[in-house]
Amino acid sequence: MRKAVIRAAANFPGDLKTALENGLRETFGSDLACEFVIDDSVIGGFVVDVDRTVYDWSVATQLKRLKKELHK
Amino acid sequence: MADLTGTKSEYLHERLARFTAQPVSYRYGTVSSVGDGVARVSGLPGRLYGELLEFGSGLFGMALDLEENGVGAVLFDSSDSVSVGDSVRGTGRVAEIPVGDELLGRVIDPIGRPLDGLPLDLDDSLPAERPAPAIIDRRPVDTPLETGILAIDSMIPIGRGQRELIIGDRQTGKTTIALDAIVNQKRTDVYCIYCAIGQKASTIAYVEETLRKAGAMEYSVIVAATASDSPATQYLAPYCACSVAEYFAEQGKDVLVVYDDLSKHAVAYRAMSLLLHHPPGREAYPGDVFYLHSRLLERSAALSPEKGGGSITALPIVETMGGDISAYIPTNVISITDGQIFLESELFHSGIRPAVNTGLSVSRVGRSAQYEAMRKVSGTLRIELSQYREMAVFTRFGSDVDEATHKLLRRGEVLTELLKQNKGAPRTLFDQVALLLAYKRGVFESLDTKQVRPAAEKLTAYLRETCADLADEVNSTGNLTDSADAALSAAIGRFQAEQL
Repeated sequence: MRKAVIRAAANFPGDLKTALENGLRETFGSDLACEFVIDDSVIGGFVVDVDRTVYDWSVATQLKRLKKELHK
Repeated sequence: MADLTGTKSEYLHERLARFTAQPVSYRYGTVSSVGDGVARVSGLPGRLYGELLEFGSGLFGMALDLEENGVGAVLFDSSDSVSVGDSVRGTGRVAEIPVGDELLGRVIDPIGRPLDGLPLDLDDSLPAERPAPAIIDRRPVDTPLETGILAIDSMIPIGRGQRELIIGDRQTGKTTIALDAIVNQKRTDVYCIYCAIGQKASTIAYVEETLRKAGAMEYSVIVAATASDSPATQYLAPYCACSVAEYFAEQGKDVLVVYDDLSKHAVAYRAMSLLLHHPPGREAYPGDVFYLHSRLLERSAALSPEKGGGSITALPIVETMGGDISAYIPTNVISITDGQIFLESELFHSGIRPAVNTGLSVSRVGRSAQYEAMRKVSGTLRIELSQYREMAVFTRFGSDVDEATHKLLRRGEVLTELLKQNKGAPRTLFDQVALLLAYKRGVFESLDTKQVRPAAEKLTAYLRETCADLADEVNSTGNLTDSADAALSAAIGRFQAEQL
């Protein structure tokens, strides 16, 4: 049973949660356990961690990228 | 509160408009074991050999063991802050060092972090490991690199693009020769890089102070990995220093790099290899310890005009134990370099400093790396010294010798005195040529041995006052024309008559 850990700053409302789980199962296979974790540092968006690979759609990371870009 | 109007606001708007939000994805591994500066990471397939791995913020390691199910990495900083279970990310970059003209005058570590307390912000960087120049990209070594040390410039001349090893026991003056060579470049357009590997931090501070006081830091960079830095950091130091040298050389500059010292470098590499469980070879060094140094020193070269015509001259330093130059690391590096300057403890302690053993020292580039003026006056020095050494044993027994032998011994004593030089006191080409010309004419032969050096100083001071134009001519052209020779000889004759 593979595991996906989804980190977000707030709880996912029901329909979004289901949509996300279905999307993940479509990509990674149906035997996927989804664990949802609250993490304030994400600020917005979410981060998916599955099979030792991270897919980062968080606002926090985008802000870091923006900061780096503006400092150039 | 900043006023966000006008150009600042426009600028920000423009930058913000150009930014697009993009998801970031990366693989990570997990630390399965850590200790002794080595971390084993499971997962993380597809790493590059020598890739930088990030163990949490700001902590890096280098992937040196690429296995099927994981990676073995040596850590640059202490392994205290890394724990089992930590996530590790690849960076896709191999070890690299930031480069730029702003490095001149600075002291940095092999990863480019400043060690002199001032900020450093560079845009470009070069990988630590780079291929050596191809055969077609090189030109023969034909320009002298003046060390300012008479014993070396006259008999073991070094050319720009050459690798000349400085080898000897501890405390024989190896670092002093290298520093004097750097200080002497104040007269030239050569940039200098001093790479300290495994040295005490106090020694590195002393080097920095010496160079700064002599005004040499303006054209020098110090890359330092102290004795307390991890073996991985010490291992990288010379490669990073060489990359900095290549940055300047590829712009057409002549660069001098000092590696102080490669013995400690080999020891650091041995520590890393043993901790990674690589099989030990002779003296417990790993089997590729020759390649460790050969690939470093091959990057020193004189570049062809098509490649900018710059050069990198290397002065690697190797420390021997008990004068044994046939030990493993010394023989390796001797076979790689284009000659060696061999310093002996006995010579040093008997007052001959620089303690150069002229018999065992050689420059394989030789006289094509000498200025014309020096070539004219230094031809017979090695032979005379070698004959003197052979004969000198007789003076110990106080035996009577014939006229010719007595003259040989006297001249040998005088030459030995003239070759002695204080540290931090480099001699110009003109001064060196003048001293050797005076020696050839027997100017000092009638003096007591103890008076030779003071007389030599008096001569150079006298010539500085009376022959300044001649000095400029010789120093700038490197030639001693017949008329210059005559003028100089005449001046020396006057000095001898008036002052001795």
